[in-house]
Amino acid sequence: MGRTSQPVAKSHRTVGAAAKKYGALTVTFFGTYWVLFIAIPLVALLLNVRFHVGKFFDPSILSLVKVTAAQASWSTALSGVVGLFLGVACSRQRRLQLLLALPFAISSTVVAYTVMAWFGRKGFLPSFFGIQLPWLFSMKAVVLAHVLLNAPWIGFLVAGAMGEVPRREMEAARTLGAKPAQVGLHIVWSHIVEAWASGLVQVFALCVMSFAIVLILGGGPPNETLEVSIYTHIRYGALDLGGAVASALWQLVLTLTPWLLLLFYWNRTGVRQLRRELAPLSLNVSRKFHFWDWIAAGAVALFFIPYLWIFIQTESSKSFTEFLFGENTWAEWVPSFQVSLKLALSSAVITVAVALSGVVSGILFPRLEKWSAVLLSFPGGVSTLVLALGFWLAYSRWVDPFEGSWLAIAILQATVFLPIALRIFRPIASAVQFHRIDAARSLGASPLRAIRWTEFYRWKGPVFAAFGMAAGVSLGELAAVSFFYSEKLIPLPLLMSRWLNRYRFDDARGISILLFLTATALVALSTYSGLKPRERRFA
Amino acid sequence: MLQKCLKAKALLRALSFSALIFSSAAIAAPRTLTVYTYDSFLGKDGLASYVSAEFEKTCACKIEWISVGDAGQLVTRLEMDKARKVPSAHVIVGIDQNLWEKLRSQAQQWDGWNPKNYEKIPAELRVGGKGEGFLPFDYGIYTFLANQKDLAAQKLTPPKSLKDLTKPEYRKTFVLEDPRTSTPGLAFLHYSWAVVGEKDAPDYWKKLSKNWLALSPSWDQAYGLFSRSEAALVWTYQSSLAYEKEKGRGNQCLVVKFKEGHPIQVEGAAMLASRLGNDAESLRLAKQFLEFLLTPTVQKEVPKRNWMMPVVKGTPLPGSFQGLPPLKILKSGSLSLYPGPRWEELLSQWRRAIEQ
Repeated sequence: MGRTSQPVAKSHRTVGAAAKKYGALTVTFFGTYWVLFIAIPLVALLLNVRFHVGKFFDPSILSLVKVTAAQASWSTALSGVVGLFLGVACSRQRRLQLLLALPFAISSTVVAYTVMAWFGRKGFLPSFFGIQLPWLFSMKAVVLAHVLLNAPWIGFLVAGAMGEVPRREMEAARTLGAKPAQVGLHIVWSHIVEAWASGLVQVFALCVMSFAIVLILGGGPPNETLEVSIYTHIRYGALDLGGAVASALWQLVLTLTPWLLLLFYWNRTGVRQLRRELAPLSLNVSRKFHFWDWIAAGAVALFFIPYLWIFIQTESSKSFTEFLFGENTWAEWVPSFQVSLKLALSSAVITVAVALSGVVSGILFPRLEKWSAVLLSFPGGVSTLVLALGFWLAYSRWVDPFEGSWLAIAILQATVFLPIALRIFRPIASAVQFHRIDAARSLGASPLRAIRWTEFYRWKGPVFAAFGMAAGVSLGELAAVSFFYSEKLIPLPLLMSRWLNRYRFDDARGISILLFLTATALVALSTYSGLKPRERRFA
Repeated sequence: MLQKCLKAKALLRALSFSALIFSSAAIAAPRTLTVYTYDSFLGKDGLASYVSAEFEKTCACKIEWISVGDAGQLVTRLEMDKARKVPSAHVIVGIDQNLWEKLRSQAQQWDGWNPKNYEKIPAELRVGGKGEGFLPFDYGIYTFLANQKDLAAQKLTPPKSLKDLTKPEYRKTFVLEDPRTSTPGLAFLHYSWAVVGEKDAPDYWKKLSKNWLALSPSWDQAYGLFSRSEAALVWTYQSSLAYEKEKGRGNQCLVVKFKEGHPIQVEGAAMLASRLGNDAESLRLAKQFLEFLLTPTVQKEVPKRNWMMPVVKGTPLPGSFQGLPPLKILKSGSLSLYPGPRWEELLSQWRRAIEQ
């Protein structure tokens, strides 16, 4: 069944005094979080740059800006084209959308090694078909890995937007004699273009901030990004804050410019477009698989099946079961798994709480709606390393990057995930059934009970989806972890790195499988729940 | 009656006082020695856990290990402590001769102290003048490890000198580590600078950059490429052959011998003056700890737990470490094995050269 509820006009919004009281709380919470954990760290970063203006125009940093921008542009353009086709092809099948969402949780290190496993000198494709990439360790390989990772995500967003295309408009156009191409261009395209464009902007930012993929597949300088430059300036040898801040600021310029241009466009075209751009994640679904659905399934499989190589790696002398239950490994991976889960769940709780408070603020106070969307979108252009650096500069008196702080890690991870959560919540927020809440209130229900009866069922799925996706992504995250971990706080990715340094390659492989399975399971469960039809029948 | 009461009170006071003394003695925490080290030194099978367990049996103290990430980050950590005016560790473990250049001003000098077994360390493995503060506890010889099968498939023989690596036939056959993010990478940079010479080094690096398959950010990633047969040669330690032997691939791998000789990494520990300057008891404990690193108890565990060679002569080696091919060690000056420009300057020279 399709999602049929339409956004309720603003005039229908009747926010009572009780709701305003709760609204004030959400606004305060959201505002405080944003100021403390986004604004202050970034201001601290900007204040530092006063002392390092020369570094900002350092030729080596400027050349990195050029390389980063070129790499991100190519990656985004190709991901955009492929993602658009994937999204359109998969829009009829919920199960295919689920597959499109899965790569989102796969760590970038696994993506890089996947490209190597397939195209490397001893990879599957050269071994079986003689196909080899002569440019495996170059920027072209980086672009290929970025497309593998990001095209499904754009497809996921486009498929969501496709669900919003009004069938009545399409049927009317056909009745009036429009050809399929004309229907596609004038009706379908106009409904998905904004979701696609914002997906591109998001992917561009992700590619600018790419770290592990560039390091592993780039082949070394000059093929590197500003993110690598930030890392080398603050984490190795000597502490060069000037170089790190200059790189971070250039990165901010690169990632935020497209966001600001898009927001400027939204401002000019009004809130309606903004709402439509943040397209819902549900759509018209069909249970039967038709011919074209099978073709689409094949296309999607190309973006997921490659990752399964980690299960069939031949050079390993230890099976996954031996890793899991081995006498030596069990005692080591279990505590790290617990730390990883604790971090993932904490990040997910913070993500959901902050994103919900921002979105609810916008619902209860319509004047804040646009602002809350802008503020929640903003971290999409800020890399975790940049934020972590700002965080340290602002709070170094209290938080030591070497002492270990799970809260700092969770906050950083949650902040970076806020734009994705916004994307999940926003469509639900734009269709709040105020008249139902009013009806429940007039029947004597308390504000909370009225919301529980009339809204809770609509929010449950998206909240679960955002929670699962944030938790899944957090499991493999390493940038925030590398800043604030300690000996008592060793999550799985760090344990893996430690084992790799001690020739324990088989055990490290076990961790990568464990991370892959846990993260994809979390995303699959949550996304499936989030994609369920959300309409409830009222007697 | 009053007298009895007073006596009882006095008895009670005496009892409470002795109880207080006993209880405070019982709850008095053992002295803690804080040690900074790099990440892979820690962990259940690392050398740190073994050293802690054994040392704590003898010292009535507790070792608090603090991981600072990579070895290169040890310097960053000390700089940050200084900037934030917070106390650093008592001891730092895992520095090498290159890092020592940056750290020796912060080290506690020995002032006549002569650690037991120090005399059994060969002269070429001692870093800095005696008493400067660097206590070596293990070392590794850097070299290329070759996969003979992969080389043969490309009809190649192992390179014989550094300059061979720039020849067209070795194009895309070897993998190096990034000198900005990896200790072996930095060692290669120093090594090539020292061997090729100041004048020719930039040109050499430029040619080298066209030939390497990849410049990996860390040793493990470089070694991973080698293990997957992506590269036939990897810049690593001589002891990597011991690992390959244990995996049953010893015959397939070969340690490359360069006619110029090979650089070494000497890993050591040092006491930090900022924390120990006015604390005689901690200084005594720190010295006891450093000395413990040179005991046979620790030295015999070095190969298996840290995949490095013990520095004390005569330490028995495990089977896989026996029979490793001897390599000519590059002789060096007293402080750094590759005296030359400071590493920041060297890195920027290298960066400029490969970007041309």
